[in-house]
Amino acid sequence: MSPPAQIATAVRVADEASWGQLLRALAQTYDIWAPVAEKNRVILRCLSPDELDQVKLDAPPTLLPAKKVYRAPEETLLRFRKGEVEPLGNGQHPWALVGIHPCDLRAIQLLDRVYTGFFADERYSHRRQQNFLVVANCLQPFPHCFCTSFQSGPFARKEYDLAVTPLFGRHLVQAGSAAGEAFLRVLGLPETTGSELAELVAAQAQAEQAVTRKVNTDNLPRLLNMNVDHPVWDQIADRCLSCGACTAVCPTCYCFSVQDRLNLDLQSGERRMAWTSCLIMEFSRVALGHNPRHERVARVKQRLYHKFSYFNDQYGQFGCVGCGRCVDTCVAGIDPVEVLAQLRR
Amino acid sequence: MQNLMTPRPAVIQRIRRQTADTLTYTLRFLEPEVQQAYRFSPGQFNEVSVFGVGEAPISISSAADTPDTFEHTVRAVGNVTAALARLMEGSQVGVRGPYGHGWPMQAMAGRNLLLIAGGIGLAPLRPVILEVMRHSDRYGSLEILYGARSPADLLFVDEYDVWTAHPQIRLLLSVDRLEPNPPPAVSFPGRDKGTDKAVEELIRRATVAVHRYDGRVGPVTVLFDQMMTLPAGTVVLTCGPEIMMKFVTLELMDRGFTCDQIYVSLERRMECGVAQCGHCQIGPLYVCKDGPVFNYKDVRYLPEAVF
Repeated sequence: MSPPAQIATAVRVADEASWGQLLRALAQTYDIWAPVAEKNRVILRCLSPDELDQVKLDAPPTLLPAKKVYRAPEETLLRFRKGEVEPLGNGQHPWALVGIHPCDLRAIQLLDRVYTGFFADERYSHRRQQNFLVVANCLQPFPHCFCTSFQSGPFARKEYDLAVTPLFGRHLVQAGSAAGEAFLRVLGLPETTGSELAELVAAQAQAEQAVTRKVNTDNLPRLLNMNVDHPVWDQIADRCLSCGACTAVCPTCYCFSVQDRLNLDLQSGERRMAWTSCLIMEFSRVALGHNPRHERVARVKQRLYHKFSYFNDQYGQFGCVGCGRCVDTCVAGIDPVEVLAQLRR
Repeated sequence: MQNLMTPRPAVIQRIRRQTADTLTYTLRFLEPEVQQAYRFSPGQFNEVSVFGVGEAPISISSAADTPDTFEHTVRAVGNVTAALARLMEGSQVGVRGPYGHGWPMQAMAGRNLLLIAGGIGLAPLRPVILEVMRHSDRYGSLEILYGARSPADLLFVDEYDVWTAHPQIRLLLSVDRLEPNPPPAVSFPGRDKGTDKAVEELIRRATVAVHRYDGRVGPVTVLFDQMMTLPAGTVVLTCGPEIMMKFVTLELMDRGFTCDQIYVSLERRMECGVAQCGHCQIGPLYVCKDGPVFNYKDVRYLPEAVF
């Protein structure tokens, strides 16, 4: 993570060839993680140097968001042998996240608050400091997007190294940090003197207007707190399957479980952390059996109240970035935009 | 690399039996510098690891100003606590902590204290009792209302004489029933060699406990009519099953206590202790970080009908 800088007004124009050159230059220093098409989905994965042409900048949201590279769906926390804890490196090569959407960038900033705000997780901080962020601005919203309601898109505002906007067959590149600026300078990509900045401003305005799904965030935490008994909660609890898919794909859902795995020698093993979900029945059950969120309606409420109310109390912002993944993924068709709108009816 | 969640090795120096399913472990960090640097406040908890089984949040039950050791009083009810119960003196466990906010020691200075505990809920309050005994000039009276399932389930019975000999301390007991509980579901094979003998011993202890018992029968709230502590100048600390604390707080309010003089210690599933795993959240609160001790006024209207 590079120090935040002023939003660059300097725009550089990269044609197809120099964009490829930029990616190859990045790949010399960093492992490249980027959205690529795989079967009928777009996923975020690490690319080998000869796959760089597969980077998709105008892809729909990746199946799993960027949180998976900061904390894998499952990873080893520590190893132990006969009660001794073995040190474990964080073993992450410097890496660049290329082509993430602005909403996912905002989600990383929210995860920063969770993982380093009250107590700093060294491994997360390390990975965060190692990364180089290339955000791809969105020109067209995808069917479930509502980023404008949370000011998290469709164009990135801050805390990226490079922002790229594919416009009329060119890549318009802006540096958002000292590291990004230095990188572009070394690459020798000249600043444009043409009308590209004006084009970008127009494109941003147009992209913002194209996002038509909206959440009215005025007094939203208060609205939720006044509607704990609203019938909509039972309605969605009746449909929810407690599968936890919405939390898995959510870029800001951060809950995890910890589990020990013992090797066959019964003396050594490892402690693993794995993503979990507040929608799963066992999530808050304690050893004696008491479960404060035994009822599904309580779990359904917990997730949405956390995103739109509790997260504000804890971290000063909404916990939703409007990426639309949960809507896209939910087999029961539960849509927070629709649920929140019902509270206002 | 030392991660936020890396435990340090600690040795079980002593194990004392409390009840059929509860043991008190005296622990000391293996590394002297870790033990030396370790400080906690009454009401805080540690995450205790039995490697290969897992980790559990457990309150500290010893006096806060004992520099060489610390104690956990643990009821064997889950995977980790049952595994702990199978360990012997000299065994090694992993410990990290202390975590959370404990009892409001500053607000308690110069006040009368009313402690209301149920079952294992007395464990995190024992540091307060020991603190009052060691620094009695700093506190007013200390009245303890303690309820357990049966006389054989009362914790720290061998300390009651010392507690009540102290001029400031008054102890009132209640049990749900006089009959002992059936033998516990978890056995301690490592310790209780020869199961028949172990069961015999438990029955003997239970019989003695009933014989000696001179407290009341009923929920802990039956003790309220014997209670001498008045609301003025009092701080109330309560820890026990949530349903007990619900009725305790209601009863206290009926008797003129205000919600801001009542403190409750809550139990939630916790897998990290550092406000990251998400399990312990109630509304906007992380029980591990913001609690486990809360002022009653801050948790009174939380979702999921805590109180």
